[in-house]
Amino acid sequence: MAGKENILFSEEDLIIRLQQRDEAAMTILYDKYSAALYGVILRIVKTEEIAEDVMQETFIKIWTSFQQYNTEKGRLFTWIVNIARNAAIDKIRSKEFRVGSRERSIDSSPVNHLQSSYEVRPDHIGIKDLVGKLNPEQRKIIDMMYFDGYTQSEVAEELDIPLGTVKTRTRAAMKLLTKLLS
Amino acid sequence: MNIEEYISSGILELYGAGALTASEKAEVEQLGEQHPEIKAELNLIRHTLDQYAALHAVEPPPALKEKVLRAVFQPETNHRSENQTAPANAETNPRVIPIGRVANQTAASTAFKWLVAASLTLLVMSNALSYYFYRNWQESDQNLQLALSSQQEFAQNFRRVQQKLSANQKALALLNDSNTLRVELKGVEKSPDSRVTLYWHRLTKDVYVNVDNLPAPPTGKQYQLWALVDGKPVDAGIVKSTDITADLHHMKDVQQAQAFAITLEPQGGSINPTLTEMYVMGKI
Repeated sequence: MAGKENILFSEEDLIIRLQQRDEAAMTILYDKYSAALYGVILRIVKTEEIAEDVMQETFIKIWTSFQQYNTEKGRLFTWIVNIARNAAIDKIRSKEFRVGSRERSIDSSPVNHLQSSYEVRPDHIGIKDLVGKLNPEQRKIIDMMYFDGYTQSEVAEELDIPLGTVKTRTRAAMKLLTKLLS
Repeated sequence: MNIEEYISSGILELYGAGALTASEKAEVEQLGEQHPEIKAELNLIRHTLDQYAALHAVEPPPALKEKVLRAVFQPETNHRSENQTAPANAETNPRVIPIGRVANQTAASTAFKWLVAASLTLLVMSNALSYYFYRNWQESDQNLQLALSSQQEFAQNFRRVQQKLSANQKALALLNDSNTLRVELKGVEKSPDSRVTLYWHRLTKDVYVNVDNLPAPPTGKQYQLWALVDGKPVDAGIVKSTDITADLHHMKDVQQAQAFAITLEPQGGSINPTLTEMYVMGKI
């Protein structure tokens, strides 16, 4: 897991404290997961300015709807990363974003800096190493769905392949990804 | 239902990646509750995707922490609207982001601005089109007027040519008729170079004059043809057109004559010829 591990709190403790509306637990949550969430959001919205807004929305949402989180349904990280992902995807699909991004000049876009920030992280296997092992089609299909919010049929349409092929290709990609990450 | 097949179909991967519709998701979740194998597979996929997401980690700017936490704990302003619009279950409907009242107003005013901009654009475009079509219409109308007047001109020319043709046909028939007499009128002392050919039909009594060479008549004067019957001149008509050499002139019928002569007379002709103004003369 990326971000600082806080050994004083287990995930269970953190969840219980958040359910009790413990504001300090929110700070711990931020320390623990902000880098992972910010990275995902930045990957989706592409600009730091908007990523910061989406970060804020994400943490407000985590705080206000925490009662809806249920350990039965999965790990805390899965739940919050999905909140971040959905907030970011909603942002890029909103009219405001599309108008704004048209007005922004190419020069001011920090997309190039993003690439370098992936590269300089030494504490996990580089995303480039991983990408080298996934073939581009497999990575694309996962990224389209996970980061760009495409539905199964939108992927089929975009890549011009049958729905069944979307499923089998996603499964193959995911299996390889699981192997590479384990 | 074959659990193995269901797991290997790839639908659980689509679920994990968020590519299913709400109803498809609900089905996967329900089956996950019923079959531990499905739930285990789902957990594996989620774990993989979590790790994949974490791979993209980027440290946010340090100042963001305070900003975010302040927004989270800010008394109620954000949260009230959050709670009102937050979906009952973030897991089943995670795409819905809450929209505050301020955001609503901004959205409405943005929408209004766009509406106004769109209307203005449409107005400008419609005016431009109207002007364009008006110009086109005017131009077409002008062209139509031109076409109409030139068509009229052609029709007139055609009528003129047709009249001339029928006159010429009549004249030609007359000239070819064996009863037509051809008389050459030659220049007299006053105008030795003048020459006029006269055709006289014995039966119909038609007389045609073809001016080969006569001086152009001065203004107020016209040439007049005389038939000489027993030494007395009888009026046989006036050469009317201005371009006297152009046409074959149809004169008055002449019952009988021994000779013809042409004199220059005042406009409208005279009762008796002005003998000093005789230009040509010819005997039959």
